Amino acid sequence: MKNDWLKKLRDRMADYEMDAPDGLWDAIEKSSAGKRDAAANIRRVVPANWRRAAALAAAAAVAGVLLWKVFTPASPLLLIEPASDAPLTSDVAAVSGESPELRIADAVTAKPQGRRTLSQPSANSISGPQPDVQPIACSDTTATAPDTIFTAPEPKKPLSSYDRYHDEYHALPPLPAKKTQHKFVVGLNASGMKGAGGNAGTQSDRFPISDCSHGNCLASPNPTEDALSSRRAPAKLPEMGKADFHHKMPVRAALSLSYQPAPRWMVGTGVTYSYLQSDIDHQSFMYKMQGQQQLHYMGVPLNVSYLICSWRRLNIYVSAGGAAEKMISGKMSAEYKPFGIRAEHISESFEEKPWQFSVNAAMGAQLDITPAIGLYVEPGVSHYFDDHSELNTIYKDRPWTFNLNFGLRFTIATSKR
Amino acid sequence: MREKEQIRSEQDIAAAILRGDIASKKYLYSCYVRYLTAVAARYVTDDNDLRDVLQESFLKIFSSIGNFEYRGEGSLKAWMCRIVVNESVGLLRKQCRFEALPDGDDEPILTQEETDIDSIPLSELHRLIRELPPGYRTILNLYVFEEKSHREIAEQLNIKESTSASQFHRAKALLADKIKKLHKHNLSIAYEK
Repeated sequence: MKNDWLKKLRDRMADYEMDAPDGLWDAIEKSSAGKRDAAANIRRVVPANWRRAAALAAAAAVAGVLLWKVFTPASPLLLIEPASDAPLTSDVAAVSGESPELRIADAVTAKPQGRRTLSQPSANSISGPQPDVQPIACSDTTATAPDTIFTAPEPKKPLSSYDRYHDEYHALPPLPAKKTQHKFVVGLNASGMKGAGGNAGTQSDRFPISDCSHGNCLASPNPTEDALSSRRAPAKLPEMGKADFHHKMPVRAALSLSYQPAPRWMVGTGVTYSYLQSDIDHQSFMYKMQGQQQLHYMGVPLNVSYLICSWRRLNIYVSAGGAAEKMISGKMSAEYKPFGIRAEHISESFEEKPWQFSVNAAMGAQLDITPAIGLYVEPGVSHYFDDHSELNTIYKDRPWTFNLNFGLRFTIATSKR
Repeated sequence: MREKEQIRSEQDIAAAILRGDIASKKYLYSCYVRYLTAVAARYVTDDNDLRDVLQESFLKIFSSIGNFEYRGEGSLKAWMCRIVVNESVGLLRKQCRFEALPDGDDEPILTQEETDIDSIPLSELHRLIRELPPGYRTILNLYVFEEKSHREIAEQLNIKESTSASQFHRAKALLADKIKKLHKHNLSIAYEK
């Protein structure tokens, strides 16, 4: 078919004019004035990404301080927690089976030139220099007032280390009379509730919709091939326009393994599984589409927790950490209803399987049903970093999310020798 | 000399608008609004949408006049036309209106005859283009009037190049058929007279 008449059509209509809509200029003027006023009234706000960066930095700083406190030797906790093989007072007492309070009290009341129940610490008794905490044991028999044996900065009164610890941290449960234990904790948890919570409905600009025009869908014997033309970007849908994604709340299950390096601290890792489901719908002047996206992730978390306080069987703690998750499979299935033609079902698995990194912070409450089994609930906040993929996930629409974790923890105690 | 005057005129207008001169904005609007309305109306058929597209287009023209680079006579008109076309296509894609073709018309007749448009008034041709279904209409407009290649159309509409080509073929055939029917209709009226 010749195109000459189209060329003629173009030439003839090149300068064709028609009446503008009534009141158009007034509307333009009004709108233009409104925009000028809005521009003048814009307040200085910190850009959203700066706020996020600041929050991330704060979370990282908190996590950093927590980690530093675990590994820094200048910690009053080391009075209780033996950091090396060289025995300190409590450890001596513990090894001998006597109650630590008694032994320490003895040390406190002992006169400088009196008997020493304390052993000579080795040079490496406490790892690293200890400006605040002096070794309890001393070889110096010269006059030293009893209340200066403990040269920790506070308090000066001759409390037993246990009592001091107890006072400072308000009703910490009594130390075990036995030797100090390090605990391993295995946890099972779940979070999120499928179908519940808010739906993050969104029009996505990131998903230009390709192909499967009406003509091709009608004519092609294999609409799947035409429709899902791009394998590179799995979220491309075969239509002109933009699709609406309605993200359901993710569901996550995890198996965790934690280690207690110090009485109040837990460091943990594990394995997580997440399921992300989104409903997709789209209408165009070509046809109508409804579909679903299902993504499966597996990942490895890393968390540090700090026990704030305990009361009877209830423990309150805070934790912070991050996770690296990888999409292991993803699928999009849809039903297309082109006009005049029966519906087509199309399904595609995603080739792109990106990594998803996140950081989180939470506060938790754990109820110890038995000494070995605890039930916990942990509300927290997570931030999901952009995975730089073309996938449309709830993490892209809501990088900051509130999550509620709950689960069981099983404590396996091992003794330090 | 006229061309030089026009050069000053287009560049002067652009410079004045950049400075925020409202009178220049009004002047530009008055000069080109009818032309741009005709352009937008080829894409957008609903009156409210047409108004929205033109309003947004002019706001965009005024706010981004700093990006305009004079490239000879008519370059300002062409630049504004591109903005209007982009706004129109953007609106159509955003709306995603579901529209059904009448039964039996999904395979338009592919006539081998040369289509005669000489005797048809421009307003009628314009109307016939507007009557095309939106998908066909958009691709035909972009190919014929904006002289875009199927590759460029495919990029803009995010479709395959072959889709653009096949859609264009159907659109052309459909328009040719409409023109032919219009001829027959005019002829029958002429005979009745």
